[in-house]
Amino acid sequence: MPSPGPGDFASFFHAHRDAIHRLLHRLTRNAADADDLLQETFLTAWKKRGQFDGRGSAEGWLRRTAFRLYLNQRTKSKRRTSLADARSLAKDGSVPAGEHAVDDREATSFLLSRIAEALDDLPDEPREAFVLFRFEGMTCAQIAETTGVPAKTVETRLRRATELLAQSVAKYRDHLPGSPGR
Amino acid sequence: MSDRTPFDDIRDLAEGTLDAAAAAQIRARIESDPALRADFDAYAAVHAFTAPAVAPVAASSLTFERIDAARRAARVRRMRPWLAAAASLLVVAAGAFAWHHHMPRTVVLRSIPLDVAAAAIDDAAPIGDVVPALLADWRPTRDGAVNWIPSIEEGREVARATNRPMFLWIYHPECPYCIEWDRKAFRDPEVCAAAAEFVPVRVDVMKAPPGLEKYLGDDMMANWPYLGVMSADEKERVDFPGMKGTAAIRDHLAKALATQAKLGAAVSWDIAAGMARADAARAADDVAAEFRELAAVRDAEMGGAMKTSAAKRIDAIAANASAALLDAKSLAATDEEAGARRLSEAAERFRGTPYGLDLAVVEQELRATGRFPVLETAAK
Repeated sequence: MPSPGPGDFASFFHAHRDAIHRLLHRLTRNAADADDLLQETFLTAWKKRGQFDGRGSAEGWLRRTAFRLYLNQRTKSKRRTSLADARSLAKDGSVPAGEHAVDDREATSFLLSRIAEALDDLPDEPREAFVLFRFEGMTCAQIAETTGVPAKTVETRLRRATELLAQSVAKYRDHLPGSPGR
Repeated sequence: MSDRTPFDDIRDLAEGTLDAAAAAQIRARIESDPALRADFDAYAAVHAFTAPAVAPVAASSLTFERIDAARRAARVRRMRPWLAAAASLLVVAAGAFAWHHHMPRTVVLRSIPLDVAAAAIDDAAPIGDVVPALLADWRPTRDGAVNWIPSIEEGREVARATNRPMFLWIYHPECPYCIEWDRKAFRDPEVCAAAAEFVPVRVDVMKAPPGLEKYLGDDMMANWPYLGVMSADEKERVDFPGMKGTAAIRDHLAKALATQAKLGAAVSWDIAAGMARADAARAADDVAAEFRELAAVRDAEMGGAMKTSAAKRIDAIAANASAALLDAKSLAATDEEAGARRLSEAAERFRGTPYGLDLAVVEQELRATGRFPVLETAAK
């Protein structure tokens, strides 16, 4: 953790902004919310920088801070927004009439919408564990550290998310990359 | 020890990021564990399904300038209650300051009375009214001998002031008996002690003014040398003239003390000296010295009328200080500086007395606040 001072705060911010923003964006699925939480994360971390005991990485400590703030926000508002801005590309959530009725671009847009829906349908904890695991590439141990739960619990949540998502996969199997219909 | 879990291995296998050996090892584990196999199958399908969503997210629009501004704003917000409290304190302090400087404060006078009757000043005994200046540093004996006053009139004044009889010796410097008495009898400790109860007066028969006949009589030689004790007004008088020894003189003086009894209590030499010094100080316009001498007389255990006189004169000094104070107050009503100057002069005049201190405090208050303070007298 850098020592106090405006210059240090700047370098601290620039060193970790993108990673923390990506994490928050994945969790909130909304660019504006992610930026708000990103600002809050850095302000909180800087204010409480004296509490950082130096164990572990500064980024891990920031991730935990960001995740706690995200949880606070989630508790306050159960509002769901789309997964990234990609969801806005999908104007119609219905399955196309013909399996070859859409070109690749439309198919991708269609799939993103379905993925977003499937993820939205997950309970909060399994969804968060899956997002961090799948999209942030975090290991179970890192997720456990960030979310403050045991690694076994993370595995349980991942298994639950995987089971529920697997049921969605069946509906869109033909649209998956490398499927027989593609 | 690795903190990897089977799920981590499953994902790495699904992503194809493992080298061949590691991938083969994990595949073998999966094949041997049906539960792991189920996890892998489910995850592999979901992994492929969610692949399109792995695309990088848009970069953050948050800049350092924006977050730094927010940080400064938050700091101001945190300080706002303190700033408000500080502002409130400033307002209160300013109010207290204004009140403090615009409300006349009260000065409690320790010594100066505010209700002195004007008559107190007039009642004070005038200089030298009762105590001759001689008494300031004179005693009836000195260096083991009687310390004679060389004038009947002067002796009479001392006698009157101290309420003591005179002890009169009419002598001649060449008279053998006189010379003998001077050498012996009037150096005798007992005679000296007895003589100290009187006002010893010795006059040269050749130099004294007319009127000694009343002591010497028609036959001067029969009453020579003359010794006698008498009150100042000479209504009481005891003669014991003629040649006699020391013991006889001592006896005569002892008997003559009866005259003193008729006059009442004598004034001690110390008190009389104090009053004389007070008079001298007053003549020199030294108020502090006058007050000091008068206070000593007033507070003496014995003093009689002189104690009363000293107390009256102290009252007169206090009344003068009071008059100066009220005069300054009157001046300050229209001219603050004139009032302060009057107080300064009075404080200087009465410096060394308790009244001077009161005056200085009032002057200080007037100069500090620009307002004449409310005056109160300390409870006695």
